[in-house]
Amino acid sequence: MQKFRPGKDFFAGLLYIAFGSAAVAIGRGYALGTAARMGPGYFPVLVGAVLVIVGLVVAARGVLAKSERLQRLMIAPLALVLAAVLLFAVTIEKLGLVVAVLAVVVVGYLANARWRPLELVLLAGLLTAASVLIFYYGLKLPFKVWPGAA
Amino acid sequence: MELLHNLQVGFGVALTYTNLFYCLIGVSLGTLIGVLPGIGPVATIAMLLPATFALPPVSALILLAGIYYGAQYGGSTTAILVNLPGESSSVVTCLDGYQMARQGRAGPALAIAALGSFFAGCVGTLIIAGFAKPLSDLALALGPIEKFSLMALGLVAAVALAHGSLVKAIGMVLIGLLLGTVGADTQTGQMRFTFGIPELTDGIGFVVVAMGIFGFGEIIANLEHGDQREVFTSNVRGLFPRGEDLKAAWKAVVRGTAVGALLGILPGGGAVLGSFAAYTLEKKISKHPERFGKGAIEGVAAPESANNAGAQTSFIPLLSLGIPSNAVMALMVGAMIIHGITPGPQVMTERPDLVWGMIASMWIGNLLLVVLNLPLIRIWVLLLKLPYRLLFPTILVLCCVGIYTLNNSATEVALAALFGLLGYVFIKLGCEPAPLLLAMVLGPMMEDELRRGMTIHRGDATVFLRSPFSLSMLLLAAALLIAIVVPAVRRKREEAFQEA
Repeated sequence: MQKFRPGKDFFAGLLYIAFGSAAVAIGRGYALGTAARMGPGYFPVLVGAVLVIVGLVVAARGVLAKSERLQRLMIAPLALVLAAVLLFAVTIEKLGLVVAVLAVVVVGYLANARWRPLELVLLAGLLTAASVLIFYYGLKLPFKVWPGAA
Repeated sequence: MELLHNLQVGFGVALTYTNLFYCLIGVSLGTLIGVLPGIGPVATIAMLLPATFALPPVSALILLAGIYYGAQYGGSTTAILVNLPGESSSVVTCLDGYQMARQGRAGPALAIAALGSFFAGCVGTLIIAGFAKPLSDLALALGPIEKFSLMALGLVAAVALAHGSLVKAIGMVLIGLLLGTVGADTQTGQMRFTFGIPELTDGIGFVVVAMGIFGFGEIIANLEHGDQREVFTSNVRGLFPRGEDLKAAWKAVVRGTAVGALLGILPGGGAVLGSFAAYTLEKKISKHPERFGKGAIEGVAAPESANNAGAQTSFIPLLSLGIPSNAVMALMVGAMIIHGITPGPQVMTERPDLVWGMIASMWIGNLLLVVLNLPLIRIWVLLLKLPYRLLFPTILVLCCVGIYTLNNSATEVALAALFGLLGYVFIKLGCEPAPLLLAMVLGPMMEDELRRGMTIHRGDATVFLRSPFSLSMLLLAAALLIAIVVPAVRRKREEAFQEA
């Protein structure tokens, strides 16, 4: 008996089952209603239930048939790109556009394998200046630009 | 005569300086992102939506549409010169286009791609002009049951045409439908899946999802692959194809246009499928199929014409029925809503200036694209030398600013990061995300029609089979699903995608 090594399909199935059962579990808290008078819970519960079934099929196929192996995950780009975006979300309202854009560029840039300090400084300066010029002065979008200023 | 009058109205709108300007911006941006691998029309249109707030609706839609069909032109440049598809619809162009470039014939390959695209774009625009009105008249007569079945067919088609496993694509559609239910229920006001986050009251913004999954998710996946390119720039000499090239290519252009236009109209269709189908067809009917993959000019002409024809005709369901047929069109629906236009068949009669202005601008845009792509090819080639490590931080900034300005909401930026994570997981698990986005936009409309229809018919589900229109839509959907499960067709489908 060969040892079972889960592949892409197996995990995709699990993901579907998780989504579907969450929808059913939460959706049951809303009024279901009847077919003639559907409540807010009817459609999500129905779709969620079908999703669980589809997830079971996908996962089962992942166990029975050979599916493509999962490639190794690289944590660094994933974590840095997401961190860059989250930093923007945290800083944009309190510290303004300049700080937020700098944060995105610097943290995001580190996600690529080759770091060149001079290039990073130039890129960060250019993108920050361009953002302020285009979005604040050009498109006149209501941004707070600098930290502190109203 | 009515058609002529409508076109006259359309050109009147499209030929104003303002709209010409936005059309030019749109197709230039489209070419740009088409040339650059790693950023597609979905993310770009999502990014630019907020920037169009201040524009009049017609100008905004002209600009956004230009990005989509412009990307089809630009995609071929990268495919031919770098052997990388700038766009997914140019995947097959790599096969013969890159071989032509290696043989020193990059010029004719680029020229035939641009000229073929132009021909296809003109035909596509004419088809839209001819079909949009009759279809919208038909759509006005449809009840909730019929509309539900029509949209169900659209989702099934999106599943059928997605890459990879059928069941997995169905799962993605269902997740999309669920995401569409988030927010206050339209009939009772009950909050659904909002987890107490006030920003979710109006539902998850599709721009947030699109940028998360197609923007951030793909950036992360691209960064894992690293940056390897080999550009054949020195070979772009002697643009004009020889007589024999033209002779070999023109039939392929016509056939490619026909295939692409037809597949573009189908729900779930668009530019990608047509290019695959056209390439397969050319190879099948060629007297020398062995030349394909070794620099056959038909192998460039057919798919490039097809993807452009498909990009044009995929606007038909949107303009006439208000139903988006793919992820890009789903974003166009969002753009219309942002500008206060409810998409649907009534737009055709209520806002003829908008619809016909857009149609006319497409023809003008195609003309501009030939000018942009042939003489200016060297400029686009220069851009190809821009390394991804400089490009992706720029995309990140544009995405963040874009999402934030949509509703001045930092929460939505954070939410997009979450969808970026989800998008990355989808890519890793081999789940194609495009059907999800389409389902997310169609979901609320489908739920609405379903509830209305069931109330009218007192919960009697057999009405779906008793209405002839609804029955034929559902039969078509069933036939499509069965056709894919049948082993022979399945092998063909896998082959078609495999050839990329």
